[in-house]
Amino acid sequence: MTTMPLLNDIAGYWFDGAMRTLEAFGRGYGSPETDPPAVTPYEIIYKSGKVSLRHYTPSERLHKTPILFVYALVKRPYILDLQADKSVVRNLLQQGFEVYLIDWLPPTSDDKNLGFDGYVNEELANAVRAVQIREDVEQVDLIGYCFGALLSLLYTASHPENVKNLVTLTIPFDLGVRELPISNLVDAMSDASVDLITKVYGNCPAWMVNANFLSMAPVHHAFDKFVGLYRNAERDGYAEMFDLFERWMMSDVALAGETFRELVLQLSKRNALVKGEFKLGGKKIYLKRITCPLLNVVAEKDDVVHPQSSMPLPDYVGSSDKRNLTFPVGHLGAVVSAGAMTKLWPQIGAWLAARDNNDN
Amino acid sequence: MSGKQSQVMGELSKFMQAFWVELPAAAANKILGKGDEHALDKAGWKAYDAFVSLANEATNQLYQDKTVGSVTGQAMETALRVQHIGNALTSAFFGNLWPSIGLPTASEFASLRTEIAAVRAELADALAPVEIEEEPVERGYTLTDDGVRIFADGRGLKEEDDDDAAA
Repeated sequence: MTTMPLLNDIAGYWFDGAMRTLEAFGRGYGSPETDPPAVTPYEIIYKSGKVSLRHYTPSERLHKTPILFVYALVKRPYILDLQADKSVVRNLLQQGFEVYLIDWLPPTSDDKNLGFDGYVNEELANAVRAVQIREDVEQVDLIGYCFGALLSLLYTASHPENVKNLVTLTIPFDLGVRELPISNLVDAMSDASVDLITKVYGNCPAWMVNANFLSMAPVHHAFDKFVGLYRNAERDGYAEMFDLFERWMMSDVALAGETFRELVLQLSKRNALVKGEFKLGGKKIYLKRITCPLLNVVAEKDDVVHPQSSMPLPDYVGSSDKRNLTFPVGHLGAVVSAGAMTKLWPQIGAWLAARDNNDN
Repeated sequence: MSGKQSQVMGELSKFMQAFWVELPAAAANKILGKGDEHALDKAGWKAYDAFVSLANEATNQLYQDKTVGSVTGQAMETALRVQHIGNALTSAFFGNLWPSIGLPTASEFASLRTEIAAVRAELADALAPVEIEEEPVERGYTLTDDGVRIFADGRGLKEEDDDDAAA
């Protein structure tokens, strides 16, 4: 190891990272316009409100029930289709599934009153309806990732008749779990602060969402990831993946004001969903209404949603066919790691295929 | 808390061992010709990794500290209140001052933008179905394959004759 070139290279990587951060701050972080070109081709079959619904067609369709992938609200969805060999979408297509993906459109200042009710009972419900009409089916398979898994769960509890199988991936379910160090800071944020954020900004701004993610691993984002890039620069494809990943890390999207309030005050601070007190449009959510098969995928090394927060879900739903599937990856590893592509997603596909029959 | 403190102490002792014992030993071995560059690299990266683990553990402990949490929460609330008051004062002050010196307000700009967008959409809709059909040109003659123009009165004229006439 020669010290000067090492410091030079790392300083160069750090400078590039700082520029990326400043540019992202300047453009307001993520939006559909700043996405990289799609790896897998798709067609937008429905666009309305906050939903742009993508349709990916497999070369050979082997399963009747289409999959609707519900992505999270807070970053852009291209992490699910990052590279040809690191694409959840492509993986599912290769297994013969018809795949639809919800690309949530960023909220504008007019959307500050859009809460979970609007997202679940209007936006997501419209997307499901669009798939039902196009595919001429009564039910769809829902796969939700992170925040998207939470929306999928709420949708299934509210409209159980429309969901054939539910897969929740790294779901932030029991938010009373305080295993992550950042939880203490969330607890320290007063209700008044949450209200003030929505009063001052309308929506929770993208930079605040980004700051939240960065503060979960400050040492990593401050310098360790650049040292990692130096140490792995010779590895095939590492630098390219690093750039794509960094770009995605800066693709945060604002969170609609009312959704942010409900997320922090109701779901996180009061743990209202687990306590059976969470309401959508004035109606209580009863998770026992969920009777379809449930596969709850837990990332063992998740440092964004603690595994203990996801694990209890099966105990709360009314399904008889339900199980946890734990996999030794982190939060993002579940959708981009080589191990997830070769082992996890084939398992998820096989689980769905076993429950796909022609009575739809 | 004591468990967490002991975790930090554990990471600290690993770092001290790697940085103050193993790294100098590897460097000395290299200088004395007993070790190689690779062993020194390995000791260097081990010390770095120990430092990162220590920094992570210290940050985690800082986050979990009640006082840090309470100070951060309070600072955030204060900053937001100041910003809220600042926004209210700005709109109250400029809301009255701006029009008096003839400048448009932000809301007027916003409504103007909305209007322009609506006009643009209207225009796009109006233009979309229009197809311009080219009217046949009234030429008063018929052009044959070999370039001869036959006029209604039966007179014939070749292209080059016309050029000559113009010259």
